[in-house]
Amino acid sequence: MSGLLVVELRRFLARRLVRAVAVLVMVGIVIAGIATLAKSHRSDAGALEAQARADRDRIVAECISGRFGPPTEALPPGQSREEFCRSVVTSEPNDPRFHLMSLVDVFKGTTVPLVLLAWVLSASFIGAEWHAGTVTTLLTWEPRRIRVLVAKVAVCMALAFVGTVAIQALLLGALTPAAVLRGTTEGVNGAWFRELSGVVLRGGALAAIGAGIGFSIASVARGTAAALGAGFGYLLVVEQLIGAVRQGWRSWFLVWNAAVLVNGHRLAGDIPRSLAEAALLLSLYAAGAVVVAIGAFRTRDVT
Amino acid sequence: MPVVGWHGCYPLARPGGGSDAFMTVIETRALRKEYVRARRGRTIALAGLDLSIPEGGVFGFLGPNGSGKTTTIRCLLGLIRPPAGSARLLGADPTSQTELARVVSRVGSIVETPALFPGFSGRRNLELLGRLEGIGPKAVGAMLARVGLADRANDRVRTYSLGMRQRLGIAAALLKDPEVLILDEPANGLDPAGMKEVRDLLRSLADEGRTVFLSSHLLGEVQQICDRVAILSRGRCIPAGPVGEVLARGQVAGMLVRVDDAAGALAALTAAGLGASLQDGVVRVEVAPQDAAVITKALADRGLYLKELRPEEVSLERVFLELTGEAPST
Repeated sequence: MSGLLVVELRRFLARRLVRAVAVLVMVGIVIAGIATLAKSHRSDAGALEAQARADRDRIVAECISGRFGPPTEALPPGQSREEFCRSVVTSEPNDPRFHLMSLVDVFKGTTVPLVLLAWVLSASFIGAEWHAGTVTTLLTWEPRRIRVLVAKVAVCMALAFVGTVAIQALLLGALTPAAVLRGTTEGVNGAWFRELSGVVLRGGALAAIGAGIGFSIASVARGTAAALGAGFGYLLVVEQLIGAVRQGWRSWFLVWNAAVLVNGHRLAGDIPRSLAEAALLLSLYAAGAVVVAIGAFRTRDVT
Repeated sequence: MPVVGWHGCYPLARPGGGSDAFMTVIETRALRKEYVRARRGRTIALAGLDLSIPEGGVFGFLGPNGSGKTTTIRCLLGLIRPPAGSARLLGADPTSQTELARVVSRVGSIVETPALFPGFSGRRNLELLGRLEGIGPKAVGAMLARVGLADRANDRVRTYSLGMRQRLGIAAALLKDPEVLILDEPANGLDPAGMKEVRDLLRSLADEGRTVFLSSHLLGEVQQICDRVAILSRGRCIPAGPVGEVLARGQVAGMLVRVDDAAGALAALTAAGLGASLQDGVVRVEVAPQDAAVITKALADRGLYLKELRPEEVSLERVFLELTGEAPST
């Protein structure tokens, strides 16, 4: 089994698609680091507040002159236009500094494309095998099909987890200079790091789940396109259309539970799922998909 | 050779077995397989195939397209599951993945066109496969050299010609140093020189004591290198055996006559009411060998004397066509 795992690992990493994606991701991380560094800058607090006040006065003046805002007859009763404008226009200094603390939200955002990437790469890993017919060749060397498929899906899921964590770590490395040199590390402490680590690890787990499901669909359908079609079809039909009509069902849907998993807490609103429940449900979905894929692979003819 | 004769597609061992009994490496009994496809309906690929292949030598497995050759090979390698009948490969039941795993390291195979990763080099493909059996890069390099791919070993497989892919497939099949080789059309795409190399290679492997099970439609190739053949038609095995015996099953369609005056001989034979034709100075007469006397009499009556009289040679192709019912009427 270890030989099979090593072979599948090498084959996955040697794929051109995987290497091309890795290069693109690296380039993206470098660009993000440079752009953030260039955009972030420190100004003294007094200047920032003065600028914010000036901006507010300008907007209030435009509001009073009627260039925006409601028509005068629609103003709240007993309130002059100037009073109304001064009450609705607030003065928030626009902080141009990059806050390292904001990485928690950044990582929540980057988890989504990374999960989709894991889905696509894993589906294409087995889909390409069916397309090239190499499953036949492999089975003439290792006919125990359960071993073969378990090795493949294990490699996909493990690499999805490790890859996601590694990419987030590289992103942390790329953005930290912007915070340290031209931004701020305010609020960065042990609690923040634990929260950030939680987001990264849960994102990695979600990517592994996505990889398992994408792989399983492509394996059963014996093609990458089917897995991609099923994925997009599911997002469009189930998550969007059915979710809009049957809102009570959404607590069973992938995306909502994935959102709970990434955020690390119960979502406000009508999704009654705790973090543990969402993680368990998603894991069961992935396990179910893998079991179906193994069952189909074990019994169906390879022609 | 311990095989003393053939009954149908089964070789006969000496009575009593013992040391003279043949060792069967491949065996199928009443093997059935049918495919049900939405558009094409039900297709019977194997209709109760009985086959037994003794150890050693090159065994040719012939049949027209769609006769069930590849299906048989896929059944033997556990790739498809027959709904009825049984198969044995080196004593293992291919429908049991555990049993098959026990013998698979002793079996090298090519199923249809060798399927390898097109984006990887030939060397990487073989190294990945070899690792499954603990075969190192050195053995891979030697095998690539043996099939004449050493110079292109580091190129991507997608840049290979069909013949080169075929060589790589043969290298993959040989990498395990197998006792049994199951090769499905290994000469596909090879040029004449390549075909000769493969022919010599297979012959040398058989001479080393290995069993080569060769599926092919290239009858000339089979005739040259195979010790025994089986002919498959419509999912059943038509009686098989040593190549010489199978050739003897063909009906001799005529006699070939060589005389000094070929035109005169043609006229004499035609006048005697025999079907005759002249080709390249040789008269072909449609008479069975046992009736050859009518030829000598007809010629002698006209004062023509034979320089040569022999039965028309039967090729495996002709036997194949006759036995599979695809022979053109003569």
